[in-house]
Amino acid sequence: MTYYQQFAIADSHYKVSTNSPQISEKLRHLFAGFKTHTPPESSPIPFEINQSADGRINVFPQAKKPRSYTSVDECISLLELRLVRSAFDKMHFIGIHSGAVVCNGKTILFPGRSGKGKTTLTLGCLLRGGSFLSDEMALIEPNTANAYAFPRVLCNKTDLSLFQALDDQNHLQQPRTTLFLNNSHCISPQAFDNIPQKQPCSIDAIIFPNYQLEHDTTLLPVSPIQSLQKLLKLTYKRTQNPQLLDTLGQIVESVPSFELTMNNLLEAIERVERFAN
Amino acid sequence: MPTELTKDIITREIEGQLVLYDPSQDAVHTLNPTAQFVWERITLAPKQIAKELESTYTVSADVAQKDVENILEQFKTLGLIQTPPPQ
Repeated sequence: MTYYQQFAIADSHYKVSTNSPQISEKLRHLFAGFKTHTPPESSPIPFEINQSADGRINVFPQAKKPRSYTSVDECISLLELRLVRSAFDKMHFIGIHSGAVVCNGKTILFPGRSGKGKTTLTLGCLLRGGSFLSDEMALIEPNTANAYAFPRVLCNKTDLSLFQALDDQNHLQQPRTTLFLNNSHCISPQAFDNIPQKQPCSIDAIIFPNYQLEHDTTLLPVSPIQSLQKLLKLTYKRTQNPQLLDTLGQIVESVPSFELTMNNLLEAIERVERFAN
Repeated sequence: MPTELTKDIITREIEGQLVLYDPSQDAVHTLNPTAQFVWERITLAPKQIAKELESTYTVSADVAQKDVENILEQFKTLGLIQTPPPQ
């Protein structure tokens, strides 16, 4: 039996055929959010993903060399990154390693390297009623400097008690995250299926999270130039985008930037909420 | 002899400060006002830049000349320009 999934990313439209119901379901789940982007006019790009008898996953992209993976999760993860990046590259979108939420109607980016707390802040804000844009990559349209939702696989906290204890003044013990493709018990895209922003969002603030267990929670302003320098370091494929400096410059000049040093999630989120109010 | 840029440098002014982004080295440089003055005249001969610096900032010719030479040397060290300033 052959299963089909279609999805749209930016201006690209894909049609996948597979012999595996598991792969089909994972693709459906993974790309659900991308259907919210502008429907493409072009005909879909077909490719096949088939599971062989020995369990290997073989991907046959159109007019490209086939690839083979050892597990469904590995295949889906790499496929997702490849497709998403290639599609957004075509649109010249700027991808910043950043969480992004809409909190009290304000769009806030949390740019940062792994372990700085961007996923923690993003998920914390969501649990307090914010809307999800991304916990991994903020997508910026270069001409308007608007942020778009990037509802890819969410990072999952290894310790969910962190979030259950949001009201208990819980200190951050394990800020690091792991990519989590098994949907069984994580804060997964399922939880956010209904809330990704369907419209581009005008950015209202940039908050650089800085997890520091030994420091108090503080929200301090960052100059536009410092902000620009930090953002540049966190931008994907920055050397290939001639519009990059103009777009990021436009953002840092028009919205405030802060560094949020944090050792306490609840306090940190309250700082963000106070700012957003 | 005018100085030449080694490659495409992307520039943008942020709050009155000039920021240079060098994609080939993936490096960001923020210029102080004097360096910015020199950068904006980078295609002129160093002597001409020094002359303009002297009149704009009312500094002595010697100081202007040394400032320009130092800044061009720094630009060269950073790989932003190709031709060393003539002695």
